[in-house]
Amino acid sequence: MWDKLFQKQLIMRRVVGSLMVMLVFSTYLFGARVLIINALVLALGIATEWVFERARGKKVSEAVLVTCLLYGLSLPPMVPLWIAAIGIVFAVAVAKEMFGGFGRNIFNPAIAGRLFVYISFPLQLQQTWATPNVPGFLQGVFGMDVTGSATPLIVMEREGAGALDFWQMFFGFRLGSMGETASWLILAAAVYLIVTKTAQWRLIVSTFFSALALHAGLYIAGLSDLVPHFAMISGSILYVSVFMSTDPVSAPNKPASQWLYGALIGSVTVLVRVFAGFPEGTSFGVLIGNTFASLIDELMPKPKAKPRKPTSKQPAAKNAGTGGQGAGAETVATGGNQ
Amino acid sequence: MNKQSTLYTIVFIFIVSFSFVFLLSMTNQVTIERVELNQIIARQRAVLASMGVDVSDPGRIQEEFDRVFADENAGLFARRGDDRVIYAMEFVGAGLWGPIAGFIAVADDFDTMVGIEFVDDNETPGLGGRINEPWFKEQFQGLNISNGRITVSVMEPADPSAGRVDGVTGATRTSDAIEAIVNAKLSAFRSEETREQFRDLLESGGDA
Amino acid sequence: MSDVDTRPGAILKNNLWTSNPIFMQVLGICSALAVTNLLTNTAIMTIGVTLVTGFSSMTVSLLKGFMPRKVRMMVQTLIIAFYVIIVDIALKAYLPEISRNLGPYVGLIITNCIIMGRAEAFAQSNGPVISFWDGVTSGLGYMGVLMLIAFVRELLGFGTLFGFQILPESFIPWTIMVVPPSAFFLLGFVIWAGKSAMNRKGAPA
Repeated sequence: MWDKLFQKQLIMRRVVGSLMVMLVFSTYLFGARVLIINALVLALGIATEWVFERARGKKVSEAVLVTCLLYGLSLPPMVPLWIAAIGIVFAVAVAKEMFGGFGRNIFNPAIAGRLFVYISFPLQLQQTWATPNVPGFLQGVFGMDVTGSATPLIVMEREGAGALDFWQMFFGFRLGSMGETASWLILAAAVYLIVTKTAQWRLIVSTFFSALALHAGLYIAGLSDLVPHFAMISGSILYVSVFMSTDPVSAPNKPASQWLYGALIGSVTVLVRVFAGFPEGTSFGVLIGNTFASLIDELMPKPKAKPRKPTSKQPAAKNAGTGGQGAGAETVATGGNQ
Repeated sequence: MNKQSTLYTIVFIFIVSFSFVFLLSMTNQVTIERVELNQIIARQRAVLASMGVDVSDPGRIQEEFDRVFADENAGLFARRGDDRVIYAMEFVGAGLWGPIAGFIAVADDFDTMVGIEFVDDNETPGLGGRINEPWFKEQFQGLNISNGRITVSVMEPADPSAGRVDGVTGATRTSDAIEAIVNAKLSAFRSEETREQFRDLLESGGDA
Repeated sequence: MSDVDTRPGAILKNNLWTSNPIFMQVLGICSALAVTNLLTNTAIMTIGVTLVTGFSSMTVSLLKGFMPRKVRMMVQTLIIAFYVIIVDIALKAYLPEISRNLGPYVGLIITNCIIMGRAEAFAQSNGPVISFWDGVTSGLGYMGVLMLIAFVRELLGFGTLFGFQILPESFIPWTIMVVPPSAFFLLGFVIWAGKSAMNRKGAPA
């Protein structure tokens, strides 16, 4: 059953595994609603990809599970279900399948979907936080209150970091999206993913430390009220460093460009946080990083011979052969051969 | 005749330009009165709308406007209502992408706002541009301005008795611009000089 | 393709579908992004473009025998600008409200590549009547796609169609549909759907 539906992708399974742990802890924090939202997102995400891939006569990639969980866990706990649904359909259909499916998408689908709903429904996504309430498993299904109040980033800008408790935040007891609050678990996942060579450590390190450095710089210069060590466990910068910037499809391949790419994501995030109207800037950071990924790769000096992912080459050639995708697909194919 | 010669080219361009420009000025001449009338009516409609007069029937606008004392040079307008006099002032201020222009009207106690109407803005359509929607403008009707200023807030809920209205979600900077523009005009309303001008306007009967 | 077959039916099909200015030639995208968040504005704007394309093609065709080659483009631009200004004046005089809404975009019709494209590619080498038809159908091809995009954007962005409330009050509008980037997604959809449909039928892409 599973083999008939999915193409096997071992790397993705490890990411899914670590995200599952996040999911369990998030359910502990915010209640069973977390499970309901993520089940819905998974079902719709798989269904959307299945519809497209069936037309191409292919199987659903296991990467879609990662996309669904990354997207689902990036939503606020009390987000209306219909909004969660719109976002994942957009993520898979537009950000992934319209570009030609797995391996061809320029933008990380999860973040594209997240940003799509963030811009479309700003109110619903900025005022559907919930206070972690342990033990509140069943309470979360029906009676849990929506807390419109401010996330740590907003609290810091208004009242200063004095109103926050670092360790409480570190262990996940703060307002935030479902998967982003438990910093300790994300760090543990980072170690696991790096040790198993699932995630590229350069991407994690460069994203995280560029954000930290810029936060510190702006704070010392007196331009920002965000206290660096609090800022790094607020919002989704840690979540994004570990899970989003490491997406092998949308990140560059050469080591030097990976440093640059991470630094771009980290610094755009901080600049949006500090200077723009949006409280959190990670989505913008990743999308801008994605946009420049191939360009950065192109400009960097030639690396030691490193084969490209085979997945992006084979289907492109097939489509170009049948005239299926026209010019777009042919470009991908030639790009792959260079 | 050689069509590629310089002389031919110049003559050709001259004739073509001349005839097209001639036709354009004809068209312009024919419609100019209509365009100007449209502009005058749009302006009168805006003044009346800021004063809370029903302007849904375009045919009645000029008739209604006859009851307004206007000092077009200073951009001041006054109208005797059933129970009170309403003063209106023209404003132009900096918006997000370009100037925002319109009219602000207050009651003769200078403590209650009567309304606001925008005639020109370049705000982002659908975001800042939503200042033109009725729900936004209606918030200013009867707004308490006794402390001399208003707040347009995206974060805090509206409170007419404290002079606070809802901003436009997603358009913080436009909301801030409106707040600044209105407050600047409100302090103008409160100045003794302006009140003097309004009194003169009412007494002279204006040049309406 | 279009230089060869000048039968009215073929031109119609070509301009509306097989080489639709928007989704095959990807021309005139600026206005596709800018004016498509309300159907009424889009309708007026695209009617303006259709008229300008039709009449400027006709005029170019009429004058082509007298036109010195080196100033060809200049004269074409002059002709196009002439018709655009006429449209602008007409809107100001008879539809002041819409003229205000469209703002600078009416004037920007001059820079719409579709018009210049048709003048240069078709009207320069064909008769006035068929050139007029070619211009009008190109405008209609442009209108079709833009109206489709505007339909989705107004419905989801405001809950209305042509200003009439369609969706219930409880509907939460999608802010992204109101701002220009959404036209990019929707245009992507249209190009994708259009090309897929074409490939299925085996038409030359």
